[in-house]
Amino acid sequence: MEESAKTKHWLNELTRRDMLAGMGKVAIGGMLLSVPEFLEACGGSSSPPAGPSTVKVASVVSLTGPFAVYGQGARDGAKIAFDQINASGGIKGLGGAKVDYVVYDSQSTPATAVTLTQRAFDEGAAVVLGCGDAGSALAATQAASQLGKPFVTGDPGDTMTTRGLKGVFQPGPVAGDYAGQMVDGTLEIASARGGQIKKATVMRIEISTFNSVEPILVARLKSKGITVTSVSYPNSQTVFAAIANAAKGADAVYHLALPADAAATIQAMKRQDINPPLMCGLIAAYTDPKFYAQLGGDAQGLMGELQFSTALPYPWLKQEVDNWTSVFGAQRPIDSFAAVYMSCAATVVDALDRAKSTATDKVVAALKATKLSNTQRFVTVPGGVQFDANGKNTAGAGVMVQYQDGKLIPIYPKPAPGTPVYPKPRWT
Amino acid sequence: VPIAIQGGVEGLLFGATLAAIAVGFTLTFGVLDLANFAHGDFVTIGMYFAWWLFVHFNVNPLLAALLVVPLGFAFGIVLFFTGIERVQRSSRILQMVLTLGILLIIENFLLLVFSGNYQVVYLPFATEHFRLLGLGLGVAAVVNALLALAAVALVWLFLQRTAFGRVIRACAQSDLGTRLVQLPVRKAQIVALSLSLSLAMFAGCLLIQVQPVAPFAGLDFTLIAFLVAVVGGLGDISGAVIGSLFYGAISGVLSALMNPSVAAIVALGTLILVLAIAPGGLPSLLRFARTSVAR
Repeated sequence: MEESAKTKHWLNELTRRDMLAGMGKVAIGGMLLSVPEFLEACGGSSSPPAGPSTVKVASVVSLTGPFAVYGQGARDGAKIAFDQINASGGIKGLGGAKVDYVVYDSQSTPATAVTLTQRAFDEGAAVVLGCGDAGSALAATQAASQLGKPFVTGDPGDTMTTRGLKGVFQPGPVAGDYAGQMVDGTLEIASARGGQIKKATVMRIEISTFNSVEPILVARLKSKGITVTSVSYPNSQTVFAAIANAAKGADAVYHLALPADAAATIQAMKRQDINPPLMCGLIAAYTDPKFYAQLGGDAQGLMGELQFSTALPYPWLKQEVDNWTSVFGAQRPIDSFAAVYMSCAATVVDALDRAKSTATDKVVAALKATKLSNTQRFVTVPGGVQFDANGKNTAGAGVMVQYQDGKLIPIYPKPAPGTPVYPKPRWT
Repeated sequence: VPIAIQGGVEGLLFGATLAAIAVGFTLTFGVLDLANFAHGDFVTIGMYFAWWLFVHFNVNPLLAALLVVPLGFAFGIVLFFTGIERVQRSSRILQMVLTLGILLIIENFLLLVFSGNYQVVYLPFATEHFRLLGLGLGVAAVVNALLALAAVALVWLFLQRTAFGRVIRACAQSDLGTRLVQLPVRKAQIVALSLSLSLAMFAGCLLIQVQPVAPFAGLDFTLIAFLVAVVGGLGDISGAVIGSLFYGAISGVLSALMNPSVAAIVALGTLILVLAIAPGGLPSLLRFARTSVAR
């Protein structure tokens, strides 16, 4: 945060040419040389400092099961960062050691996540990342803490770093931070355009992340003198008439939902001619592409939150977006989970670089002292990464976006480039 | 219009689509004496089938609903000969293991092919609505309800008015008796299973217009279909329809009267209460009521 854009950092020393040259070395070296020779060739230095040739970093993520889509994003976000770091000379503080990135499938099951976390450390992982779903992440962080090993999670649940666990770090913004930012942002947007928020409705699907964030959201709204009506519904809800009705007369609606039920609720509101002037979905409720696919033009003016947007003015971002697109194609843009796990990877490598060791106590101490800004490559979390004593990122936040002509435009906080539209157009 | 009525009507429309699923479930149970725990996964297959045709060939899901019927028959025939027939005279446990195994195979196959991400079909008309007696009704929900009930009516007519339909009903009444009079029991069972799966997949093609699909959605459909079929009297087609409409309406009304999270529990609790009062389900409850009135 305090570092200027001119600050030299190893993450920024990488140019596109270096990256491609390094990746070429990786490919050709892998074919021609034995592993030690291959790694030495990749290091690009004739006499590297003493240190391990590889450092094992593991991901325990949900690659199958109901949360597979999040786990796959987590896996790929970290992998693309590690691949490029390896291709550009590895971890300088460890003599150019490469990250040996190993991925385990937790199958969206907490018990499996625990077993695999233990196995990853048994097999020599210096740090484990994970998990892509809150249940598995809660269990795996607990297991890592009991082993006294460092665990870095990209999951946004508030409870990851509020249980007094040692060695757990959460580089992404937590759900409660999103909630606070959403309240502040919506109030500022409404009042700047002559509106006011006196009555709000909070709609919530009953899942663990939202159950823990709802009290934070409601408390924040009440602290601003806003009257709050809350309604919750189970994951199996099929009739949304009553949920939509709870928004009648509200100046603003805050939606803690999954994209599909969020779209169903909005369709029910449209049928019942309920048109709040401001409506926003927390975390991924409104920002999933399929949410827009279900609503089309009815999404105009709805606000959402992203961990990350490709429209943010980071100096390295365009190159990374191009690189991601060349690997995964234009049909699969960088999602929030991939982006936050890029930050996780950057955090881990930065800590190993400063620790100059893979010893657990030194790595944990280095993680605690993390101070990364968005000028540094792969640090996608708006605001950067800096941990408090519990391992929660105190610098990071999300970015509020709004559907404007079918696109998600970053509108809050500055330096988001867009101008908010308020009130939202009426559904007809 | 009070929100309870709006909720009740929307629930009734969902219940009508659910009826097509529940009738299929009850048909398999009645004719093959088999509780098919993979039944809901055929709804999911139907949803993916319609989604795939829409995304790749721009085929409307309503057209896919017609195309899916022969596919349902093909699944029925394959499933009968490769698994169902072998466990028909075995214990309930073995039947359960087989159908749960089929469930796992289907869900993991769908996960492998389509990933864990959910899929949706966006049709402009699916977001349209119209007003009737002060109620706002979704066009897709109404179309789905009418088509689902029409499909159920066709199956009912086939069973009631055709010679082969009578054979199937005879099987449902007594497998042994039907064999004794040398009627084609095996053929009737194959047709019943195929009809059942076709109905499930047909309902899936309708549902994809109003809700997303993910590989693990099947078990929810199975459990609700199972429950409403039991409440309607297992093996009884009209009972399955009544049970579905009853469940849909009651869950819609209750969600308007109380917190929807609590309403979901109360709606399921109501179904269990019906079974506690009348173990034969709604038909026996109605018979009991008629007898009481006659006295």
